Amino acid sequence: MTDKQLPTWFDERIEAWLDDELSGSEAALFEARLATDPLLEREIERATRLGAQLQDLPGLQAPSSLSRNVMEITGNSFALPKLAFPAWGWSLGGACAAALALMVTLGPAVLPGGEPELQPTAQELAKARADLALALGYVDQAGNMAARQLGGQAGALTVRGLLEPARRLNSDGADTI
Amino acid sequence: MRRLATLLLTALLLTPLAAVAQGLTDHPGFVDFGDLDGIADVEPTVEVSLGPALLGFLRKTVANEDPELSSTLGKLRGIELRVFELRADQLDNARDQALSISKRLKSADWEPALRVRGGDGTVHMFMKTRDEIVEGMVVMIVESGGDAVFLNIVGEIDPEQLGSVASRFGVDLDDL
Repeated sequence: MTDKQLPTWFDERIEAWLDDELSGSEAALFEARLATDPLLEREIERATRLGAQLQDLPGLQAPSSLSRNVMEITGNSFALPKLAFPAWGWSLGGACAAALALMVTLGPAVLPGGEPELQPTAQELAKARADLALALGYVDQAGNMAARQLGGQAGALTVRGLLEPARRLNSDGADTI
Repeated sequence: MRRLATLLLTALLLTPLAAVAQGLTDHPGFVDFGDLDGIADVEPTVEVSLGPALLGFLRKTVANEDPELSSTLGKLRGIELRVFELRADQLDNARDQALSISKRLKSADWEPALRVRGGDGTVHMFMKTRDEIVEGMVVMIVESGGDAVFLNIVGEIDPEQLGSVASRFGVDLDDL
């Protein structure tokens, strides 16, 4: 590494200086260095650009599949808010802490294998059960439509027999893939 | 230092979100029906997404009354259903979509189990298997009457058991 390195003390205080959070003596020391060190000046410019880019980022709308999954995994008990980059300014440390807190809070509920702690309400379970019935009903319907193609067996077939007509259709040379 | 902090921030922000998505979308039996949104410029009239957590809760609630259903649900990871009510002139679009998905599934090593064309409409059925275990099922129905149904069942599926369970749900689709 041949690049000139900024002393750690100054490097660690760039964001605090930009946020005007340095004490009087620290600020004086920092600004004295800034007056003579182009590297420190460049680092400040870089941090300024990064902060501006973060603030300029548009609000991110979570994809519907994501919010759907989160709601399912958490039992539909809360709606996923619109994700947006807040105006964290230069406090990357704070941003990291916030993200970490978010992950710690949501992690057990949303990570695969994590135990969901929120229970769906009875109403949500009833709706899920109706949805399940509807989905399975269409599976049954597919079986019935396949059976009708075989001739007059509608109503009796379910997907239990769907593979059977498929085999028969295949053996009969009917329209199967 | 800041570069590291930025990377860490990005990683922390993205990790749980990606993990959420991986809960189902990375499953070999999952099929993304996202392209279907707005088929023939018609929004789905039914959009069902049941994930592993809800299916798990459902499994528990039916454990006593219906052990077979409970057993079936215990192996499923998700159910995705889209139903479109279409006019006659929009059915070709739905058939094209079904064919397009069929091609995509075939190229992804899904096994075509059945395709039926008849007066009722068309039925496409695909299964994703690994070591003779069904890991996913796709059923696409385009009814002559106007409904187009796209269904993806994700997870370990015993077709016989699933069929038995489906027949007992007693859904009269004509009444829906």
